[in-house]
Amino acid sequence: MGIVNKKTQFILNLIMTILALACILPFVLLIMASLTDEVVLTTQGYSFFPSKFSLDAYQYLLSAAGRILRAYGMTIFVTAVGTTGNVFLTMFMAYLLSKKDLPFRTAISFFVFFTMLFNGGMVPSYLIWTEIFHVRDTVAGLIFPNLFLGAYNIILMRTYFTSNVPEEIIDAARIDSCSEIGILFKIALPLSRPMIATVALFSGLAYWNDWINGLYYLVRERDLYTIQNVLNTMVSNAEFLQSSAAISSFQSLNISIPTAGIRMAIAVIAVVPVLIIYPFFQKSFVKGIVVGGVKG
Amino acid sequence: MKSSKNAITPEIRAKERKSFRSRLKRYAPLYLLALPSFIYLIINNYMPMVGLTLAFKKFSFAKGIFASPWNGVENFSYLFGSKWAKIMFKNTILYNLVFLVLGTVFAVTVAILLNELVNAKLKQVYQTVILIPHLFSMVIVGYIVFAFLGGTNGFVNSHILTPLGAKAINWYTKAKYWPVILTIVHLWKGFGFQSIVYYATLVGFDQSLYEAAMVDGATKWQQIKSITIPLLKPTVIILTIMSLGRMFNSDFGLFYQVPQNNGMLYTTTTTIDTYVYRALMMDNDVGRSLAAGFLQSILGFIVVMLANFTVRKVDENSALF
Amino acid sequence: MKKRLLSVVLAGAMAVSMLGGINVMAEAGDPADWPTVSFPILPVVEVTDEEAVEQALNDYLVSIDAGVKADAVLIDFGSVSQVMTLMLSSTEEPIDVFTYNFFSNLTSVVKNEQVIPLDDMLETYPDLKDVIGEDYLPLGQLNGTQYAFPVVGSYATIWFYAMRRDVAEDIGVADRSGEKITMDELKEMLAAAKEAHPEYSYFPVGLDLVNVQDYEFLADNDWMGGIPKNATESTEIINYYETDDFENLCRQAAEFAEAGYFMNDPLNQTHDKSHYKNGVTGGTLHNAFSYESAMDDLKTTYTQDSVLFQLTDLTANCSASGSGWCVSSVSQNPDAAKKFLHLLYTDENVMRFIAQGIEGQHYVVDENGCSWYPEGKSMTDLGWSTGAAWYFPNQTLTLPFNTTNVNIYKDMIAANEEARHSQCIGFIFDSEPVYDQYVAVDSVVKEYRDALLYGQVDVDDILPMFREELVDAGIEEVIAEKQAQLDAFLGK
Repeated sequence: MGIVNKKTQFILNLIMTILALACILPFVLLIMASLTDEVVLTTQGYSFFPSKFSLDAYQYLLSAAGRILRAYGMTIFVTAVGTTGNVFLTMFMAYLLSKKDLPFRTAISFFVFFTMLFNGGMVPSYLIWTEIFHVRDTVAGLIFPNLFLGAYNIILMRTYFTSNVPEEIIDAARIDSCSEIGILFKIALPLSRPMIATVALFSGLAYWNDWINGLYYLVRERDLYTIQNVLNTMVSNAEFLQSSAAISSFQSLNISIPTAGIRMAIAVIAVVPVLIIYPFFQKSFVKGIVVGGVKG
Repeated sequence: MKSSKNAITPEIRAKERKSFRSRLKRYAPLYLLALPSFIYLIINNYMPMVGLTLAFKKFSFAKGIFASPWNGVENFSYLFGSKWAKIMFKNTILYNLVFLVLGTVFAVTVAILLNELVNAKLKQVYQTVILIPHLFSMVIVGYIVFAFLGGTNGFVNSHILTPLGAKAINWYTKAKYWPVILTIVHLWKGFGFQSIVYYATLVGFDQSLYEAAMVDGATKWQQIKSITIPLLKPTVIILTIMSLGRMFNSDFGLFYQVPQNNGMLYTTTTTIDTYVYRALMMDNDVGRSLAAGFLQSILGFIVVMLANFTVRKVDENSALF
Repeated sequence: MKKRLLSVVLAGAMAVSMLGGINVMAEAGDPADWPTVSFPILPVVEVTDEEAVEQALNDYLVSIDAGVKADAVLIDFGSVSQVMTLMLSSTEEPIDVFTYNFFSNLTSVVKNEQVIPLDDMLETYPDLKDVIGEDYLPLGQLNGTQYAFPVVGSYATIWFYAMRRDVAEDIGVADRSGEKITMDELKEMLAAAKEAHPEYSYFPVGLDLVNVQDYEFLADNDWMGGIPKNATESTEIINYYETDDFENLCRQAAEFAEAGYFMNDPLNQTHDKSHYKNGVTGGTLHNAFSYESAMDDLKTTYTQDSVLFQLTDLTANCSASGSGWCVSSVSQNPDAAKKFLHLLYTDENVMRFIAQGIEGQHYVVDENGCSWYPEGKSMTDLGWSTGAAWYFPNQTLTLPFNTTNVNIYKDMIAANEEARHSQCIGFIFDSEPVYDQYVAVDSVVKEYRDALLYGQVDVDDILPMFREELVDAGIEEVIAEKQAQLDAFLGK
């Protein structure tokens, strides 16, 4: 048994290592590309061992260091607030729908799911958020439109509640005259830590990577830009400066901007914080929730 | 104690099921708790649906959504009538089917592998690392793919094909390779992220089931087959139904940025979304873009209703609604 | 029920906000009551001095009793399409004056009713006719109505081949700079250059080679129908892709690709001339309205010491007709917007604040009247997007920037006059009647053209396929419609 187990573990680790390498090597390639001289990048392509290094891309980013740091702060704030709100709204709706004998259950499920299929496009959404709720040029414009609650997470969590929180325990709690809200907070949520972490991760990543809200709703308040907005602006400016439309008339361009290198460098600095934070989420993915113990 | 509760429960349920009003009353606090979520969905999702009428209108920025004149189904006609109609519908549907099947199998497998690993430290490392591809934008993925498939300096040509004595392939002009390339890229980018859902579900299972199975001397494989997979079934079904709703949509970045919009690849990389994007690039026609979205939604809706109906017949509890 | 109620509320809210917008324009009384007109600026560097420049501009507007104040909205080039679409859809703090450059075109903004007619401006401000030039006013007209005013700029262009001076010296042609040469002579030079300097490629933007063939494509980037000889002799539109000229261009591309004149993996590279600047290519096609201005560009923009060989005559056609500025249909105060638009065309101080910033802070002026970066400053730390006057209404009001040629704008206007004009200037095609064919053909063009013109596919295999699919997609209907519209435009 022991030997078989060891062998199995070895094979499992081998497979996972291969998959992990497939994910990490391109990332390393990206880091190397961000450090490669632009001309070398164009003529010799991407390489793990570039023939000429250059820090131009990071230097260009450094020229906006103050703005980038402020934008990081903004992103962290928006992500924290937005994700917290999202997780609670998701939990409450999902828990409601997980009740199998809930009146109007099918109708409400349909109501939620329908939002995944149909949307009215960016113009009506913009009109509602700006003309009725006046979120334009405020932090609210980064938090509320689109990202605050989504059907996907609700349905994911509902499924988790129905398949992972045994009805027996809930019934037992009812008999102990625990209120429905009490059951949610005392039993269902503690049993659902892995899924809460998952939803928080999904929502957090959505906020972290979002630049659409900043683009649509921060027209006159660029001071509120998030990191993705700032980085996007830099890419777009660098690209535009390279494009022939600008270059034929821009008599003032006397700096060299490494477009491809900047893209890579930006990808690196946007990804690294997530990789630092992610292990904290993983603490919630711990096995060993033994329902039998709760039943006691 | 345990048994006595189990004995009472069905009776209680049966009794309460009779009374619609008592159930309504019991769940009143939960409705109230979910009220903000309702309101949010109405504001953020339902109110903008007024805009769907624009699919049948010639949108005038001056007149606004309500006063713009109707123009029947004119906004839809550009999607049909040329060779592109067949290409884009075929591609969109086939890619989605392949992605759905392979993506699910891949993600579930990885989740089970992770779950079976003993070493907690390594497990954490794998879990973090496989998420990396998901964090890249598709533009970046496009660069990475180019690093591999570039004609002159690409890794595949210069380090694999040429040393093997094979002829270098001009990947970006040969459409026939791209179904495979795009599938690999899609799986590579998404598997870590997708497997999180299954993994979270797995670790949340009642471990006593496994303990009992182990006591009965079941092998790992038997445990997976008879406990893990059945337990994952509801999640797989729900995620599948949700994907079916997006059967006619496609990941724009994957089909536009990754092939770097190379014309010679259009026969295998054009989906409804990329065609619409190219067609409307320069004239910002709101009505035509909504028309395409509306069509995708309606078709997706039909597929979901059929799928949900079928699932309901077989197993009512697994249905989406 | 709930949903219906909400949509009624929503409709009401929108209607109110639209009605509320109708406002009588204030007389130039107390500046505090003046309406504010917003307009876009597309910065290419981080702008930190927005408030200071706006303040200076508004102080100036008060000093001339303009009756209107201004508010600049910064929009990134990369997102201009989305941001403009949204800002033009809402009456809440809308954009008042804008250019369709970078995200749309005149036909689209008129069809989408994003702009209002400006015919009355020509009566209120008759000086506009002189500033823009009566000949060029049609560039902003559609069906006889003035919806936009074209930017005052360069409409005429000469195509040159620019070669690095060191390469030209090595092959002994450096002393021929400025000479007009034929395509065959250029090919000889390129062969010699490639032999002497195999490390370079020679055409960063392969598609530009079509310009040597002197077609008037009526501003269609897809070249759906062209008129030979720059439409100076005839105005009959032909299917360019069926011509021998196109086939020759394809065969020449195959030749060039074989010889290594294009970059590696040309289809995956960005097609722009920065590769020349970065030293990836040893030459490039380049266009400008004169030899001197081309030399100027190459020196300051591309920082390459170059020699130039002229390939075409000074020509003006629809493709060079640039863009225009208009007043948005959601503007709450169109009269104020028009007033400000007029200032953008006629008041040099207003233009200089917007395009150049504040004198002394963002630029300095030398004794000749040319402007430069202030001592020790460069583009990135300037605080204002200086030096991008060309997309604003009237760049000729600004001070020549980063050049010693004080007459640069005078020369530009003179070149417009001298150029060999296409008969079709001012014609704008409305694709709506053949929209479905138009987008289908567009996709076919994108599918094959680049691969052919960078020599990446076999001409004998692909060209017949390309031609057949163009016809299947409906290129002939598109050209027929174009011809009908052009004939109407020409008054035939």
